[in-house]
Amino acid sequence: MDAPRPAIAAAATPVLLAAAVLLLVLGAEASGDRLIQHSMVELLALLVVVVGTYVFVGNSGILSFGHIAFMAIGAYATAWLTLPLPLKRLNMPGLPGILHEVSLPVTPSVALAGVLAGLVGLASGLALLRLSGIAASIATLALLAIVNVGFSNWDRVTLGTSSIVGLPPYGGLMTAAWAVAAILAAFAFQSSSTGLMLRAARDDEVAAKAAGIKVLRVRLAAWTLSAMLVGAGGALYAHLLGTISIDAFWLDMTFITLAMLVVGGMQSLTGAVVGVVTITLLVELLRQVEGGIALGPISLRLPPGAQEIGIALTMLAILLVRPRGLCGNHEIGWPRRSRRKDKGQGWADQMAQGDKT
Amino acid sequence: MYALQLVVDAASLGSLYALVALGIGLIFGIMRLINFAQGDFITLGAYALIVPSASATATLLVGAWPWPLMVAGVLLVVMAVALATERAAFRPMRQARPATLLIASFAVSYLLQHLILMVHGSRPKALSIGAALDEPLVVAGLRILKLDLVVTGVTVLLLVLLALFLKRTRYGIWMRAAAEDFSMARVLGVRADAVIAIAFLLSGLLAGVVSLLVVVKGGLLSYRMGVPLVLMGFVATVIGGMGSLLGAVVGGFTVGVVSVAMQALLPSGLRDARDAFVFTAVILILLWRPGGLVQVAAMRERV
Repeated sequence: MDAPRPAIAAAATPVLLAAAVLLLVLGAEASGDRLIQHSMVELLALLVVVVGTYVFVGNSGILSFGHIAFMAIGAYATAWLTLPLPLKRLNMPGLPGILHEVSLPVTPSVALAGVLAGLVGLASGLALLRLSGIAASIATLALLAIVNVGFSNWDRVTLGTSSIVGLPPYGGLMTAAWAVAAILAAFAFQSSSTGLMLRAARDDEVAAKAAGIKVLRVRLAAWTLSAMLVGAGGALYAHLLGTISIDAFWLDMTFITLAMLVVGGMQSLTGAVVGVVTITLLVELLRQVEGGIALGPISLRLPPGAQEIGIALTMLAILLVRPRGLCGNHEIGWPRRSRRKDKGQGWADQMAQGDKT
Repeated sequence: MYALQLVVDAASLGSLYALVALGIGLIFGIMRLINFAQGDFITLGAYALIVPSASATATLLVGAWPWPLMVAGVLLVVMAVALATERAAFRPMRQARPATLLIASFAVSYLLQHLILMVHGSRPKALSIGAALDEPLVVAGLRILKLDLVVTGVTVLLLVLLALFLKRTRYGIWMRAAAEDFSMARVLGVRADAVIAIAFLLSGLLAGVVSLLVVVKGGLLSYRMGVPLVLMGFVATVIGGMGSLLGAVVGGFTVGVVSVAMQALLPSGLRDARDAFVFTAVILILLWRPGGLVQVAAMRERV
């Protein structure tokens, strides 16, 4: 009787995650502290990137080291679209003519940045996704290297390795709206028939193929959606910083976003969100300690670099102790009233438990 | 003449990539672990030459020793580091899936990079060793750097020694058996710990050789100097055919040839972006042969 109806149960994950995001944002806004608000917007932008990465990695089971390429593409795309015209005409003579005539507001620009990243995703996916397993992961790394080297040398459009400055700022609440949209999109995808087929192929590729699933096609769908979300996330990140350079989209960013995914748990949306929040908190904490904090009479100060080393050790510890991440590949559900033996009212829960094999 | 010059360049660059790819391939064959940290082994070997300090100029440490000692010193340091990472990070995860191992090695690599950064600082340091090798040798009108000959020669020598080790010695045969079917090999009495330790020692040895060659060639140390090499090593193992040592060598030389060809063929404006074209070419090769150039039966998934 008191078990929720399937539709309501299924909605638990996106509703609770979106509510958690909104709660965090409102908390940060209410605090009135500029630094906290800035960290919160950074968290949200990275949340879009990590949830975007999760759409492919989590559902397909193929590890990608290449998603930061899409983040770079999104960040540069929004710079091409939103920078003031004189700046673009002067510094980026290689841009197509139309971009020298129009400068867009941020919201449509973020969307277009996502679309551009999605198109690049579609094209690259047609090639990369023919590979399987580890070979595919290495090929995604090659994609990141291609974009990195290409953008570093495409001076007339990207300013090479110099920074692009002067991107217009974007509000925290708008960034939060994108984060919620990303969560909803990721959930809609993993609940769709395409998403379920992809998860089936992840768990047993041969059986999935035998059941008539066109593995390449469902992988490509996830890869493209994933690229779009990561591209939009990259654009949001660019507007948060106001300045971008290609160095920001290389191994450090790849590492930190993967750490978020791994620590939370790679195969659940809840895990992606939990990972982003956990790692952001840890980074902030280590950053404070690097700057020096007083613990009563003792003042504690870690040398620079302790932050990165701390994150790496955390990630290794999680891989060792809890390889499925903090969330153990489960999705969050409604709090249960009674603790009965039959677990998993929501199908999402059952699915998550199916992942245990 | 110009064509011959290109062949020499390709052989030298291909040799370096082949050594890196072989280091990755040795561990992958046995543990199904793609070791990101192979690049950082190379970096650590290079930094072993100088005194650890955050100062901007490099003071020679191992690099100041007579060359046989210097070579031995660097190789020992890198082998010790390789063995230590295996003990501390990878041994506890031996039962994990390949994807987990891959992320773990990425984390180990990131950790090593930032440890180097913490000790040595982020600024690149100039360093000059083996200047005698940096002279050209004129053979029949062809100017060849002595170093290029040394690189190719050392690589060929190492390949022969490695082949002999794998074919003729007991441990080599254990390693090949473990690469073929690890659990079966264990049942037949192959000691897993020994085989894996040897694989890491050999990878460390190869990485140490690469460190020395790269420092003599480039003369610059930076905390991520191993990253471009390990990227090329990865793509070399993949296009060579994962799980095959011969494939790793073939892949390494292929990537070297493609790089030199791109350098020669690309218009000067695009030459700086050479690696982007190399990686694109590699992906195209993979589309043509998704399993790599040398395919191994043990890697094919059975149903």
